[in-house]
Amino acid sequence: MKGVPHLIELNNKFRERGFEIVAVSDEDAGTIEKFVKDKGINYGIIKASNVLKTYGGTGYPSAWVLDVEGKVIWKGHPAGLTDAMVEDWVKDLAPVKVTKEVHKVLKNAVEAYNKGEFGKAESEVDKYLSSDDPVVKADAEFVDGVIEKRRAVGEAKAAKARDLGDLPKLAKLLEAEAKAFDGSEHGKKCGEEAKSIKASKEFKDCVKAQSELDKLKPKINDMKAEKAKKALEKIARDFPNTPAGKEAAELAKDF
Amino acid sequence: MTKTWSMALLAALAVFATALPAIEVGDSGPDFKFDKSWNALEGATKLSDYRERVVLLEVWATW
Repeated sequence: MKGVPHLIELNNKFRERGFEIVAVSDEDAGTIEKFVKDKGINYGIIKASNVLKTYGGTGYPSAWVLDVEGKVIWKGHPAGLTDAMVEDWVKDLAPVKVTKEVHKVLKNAVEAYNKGEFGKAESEVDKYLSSDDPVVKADAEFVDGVIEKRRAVGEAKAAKARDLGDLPKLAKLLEAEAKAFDGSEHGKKCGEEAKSIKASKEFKDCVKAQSELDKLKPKINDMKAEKAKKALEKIARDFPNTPAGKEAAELAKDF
Repeated sequence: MTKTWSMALLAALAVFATALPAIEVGDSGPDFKFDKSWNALEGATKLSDYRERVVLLEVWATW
């Protein structure tokens, strides 16, 4: 497999910035393990069956690139992947882990960030942002920038859910952010917004619509078309501004 | 002879039955479970554990 060095290189350059390789084979574990060892492979190797079939690939190797939400953004032969393409995909991701060597007073901040405790990282960094030592100050600003980027990524996701009116998703996102940013002003804000969303009528409507649609869906193909259409239209009418209501309206068109 | 033909027919049917539409750009990447992994993301047991990351999914063979 002449593609291995290329993938090792991509892994070395981009893994810590949020780029993960999932290289799937369905051969037996012993064969895969020997190959991984012999070639010194350091990227993710997975044993799983039927993936080529599920993805409709035409042969080995085939590749797909998925974005942070699992959507396909590229497909092709892995040899066609360039550094510039990967750079473009990861440029807006906050680093998963900070690996840069920082001044020892900021070690706690970096450690907290790397554990996903961004609120704690933020309060650690805050202590050194106005340090008189220019090295400490610069490192503090660097880590602060990383946290800021991570916060922006979360806010962009929340904004998308807000635009779509997907309140259950928004509440879930905000709760996760509140936990990750626990101890900071941002975390507090996220927690409060999640709470007020969950208390709203709109949120309750979303949940109700989803639960009715979930109940209806498994039965729908056994129903008479006319009845199925009516049931879907009722959900769409009762809950017009919810994701499940909109989905029901779309589904009703097929009957 | 008949046997050969029916075998061929069966093989052809099998091909049709398994030819799913290919996953294209813009589609959601179907999730799947890992049977075993080496150097994978810590704690990951399925593809969807990689959300938050950009993932290069490669299907390969040692041969």
